[in-house]
Amino acid sequence: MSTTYRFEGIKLLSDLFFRLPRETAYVVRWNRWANDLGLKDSNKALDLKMEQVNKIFQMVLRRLGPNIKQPTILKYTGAALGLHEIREQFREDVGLLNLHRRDKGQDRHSDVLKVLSELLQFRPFAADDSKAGSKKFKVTINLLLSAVKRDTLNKAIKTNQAKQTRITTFLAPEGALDDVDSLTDILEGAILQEIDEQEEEEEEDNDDDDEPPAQSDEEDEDDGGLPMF
Amino acid sequence: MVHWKKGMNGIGSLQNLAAVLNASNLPADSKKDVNRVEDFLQTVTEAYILTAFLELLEMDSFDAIPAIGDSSDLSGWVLGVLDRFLDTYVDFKFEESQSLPTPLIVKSHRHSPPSPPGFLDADPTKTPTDPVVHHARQTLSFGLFLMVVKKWTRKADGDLTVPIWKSLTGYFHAGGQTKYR
Repeated sequence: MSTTYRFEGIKLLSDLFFRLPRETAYVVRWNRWANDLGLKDSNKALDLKMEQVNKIFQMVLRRLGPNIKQPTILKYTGAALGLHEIREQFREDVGLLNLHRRDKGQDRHSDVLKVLSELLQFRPFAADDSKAGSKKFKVTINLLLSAVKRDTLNKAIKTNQAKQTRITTFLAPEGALDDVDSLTDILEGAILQEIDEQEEEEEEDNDDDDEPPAQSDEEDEDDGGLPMF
Repeated sequence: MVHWKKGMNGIGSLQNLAAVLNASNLPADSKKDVNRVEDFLQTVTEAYILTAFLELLEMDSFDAIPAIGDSSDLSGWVLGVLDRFLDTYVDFKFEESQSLPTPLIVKSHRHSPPSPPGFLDADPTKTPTDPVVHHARQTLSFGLFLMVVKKWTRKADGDLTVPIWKSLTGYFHAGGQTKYR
């Protein structure tokens, strides 16, 4: 398939390890990486700083808008770097977060703790050989909706909108929210039934387009399920 | 990315976790927005590492204190814990992930083809039978690998190039990409 890449890789490795002299191999290995910390080959830091300064200049020039003329450009680019540094230093001293940062003020530690609280309930590494798939996350409505494939759900909503019928909504009976497992069972049954009906309708190649899809109400009531509106 | 594809939303998968956490800014496929998925994977990896250590040291919560046998040999204890962590939780098999149990029995067998066989034959003694545990180990090891790659690109560590590219070939093979093999 890709013998050329293999030969190239063998050639590069041989260059690295025994064909080139040791100093040249060192240069080949170390000299092709962007070094923004100023360690061993430390000539690149100033260049990278200049790239960042150029980015600031471009940002300033873009924000000038229709006022781009030569005197304004000279004026603003001369002042841009100093103003930027003063602003950054001010924000750092006051304790404000930098809004141009990538994380945009989100606290990373709290995120990790939030994920950790879910994972401690889920226990992903505890082997459960007795019953495969008995573990589950803390059950929420979002989890249930995510479990249904999004494509099928969107398709169901679109077909309902196209036929100008009501989108089925689920209302929980009294006391169902206290016992979460019963609620999940009811929702599972309702959603699965809806998907089955729509797949059957799709398989019939839309022979009966005028028939209103109102059969689901009766079936649900017979099963002792939810009233559907 | 290996662990973020369109159909992978079973129990214990990353998309399931994202749905629980209301992380709604993540795309369905990782090719659409790699950076957000990468950030999410980074936080999840740290949480996975913490959970693994908490289970290893038999701690109930994050504020608990682990039980140390001999307080004289602390460095040996730490090294032993790290060895146990690597033995039990880190698993570089480059396998295509097993099919996770779906929370609802949606007819998934129609749409999804069967998963291809793994890159290496799995040992029945070491690999767990539970696919959730297997997937958790794979995500943890993949996240650790991504952390090493980030360190490699950030600190310009030239000594890590050859081992990282060796392990990347395994991931390319598992992902079905035959270009750089």
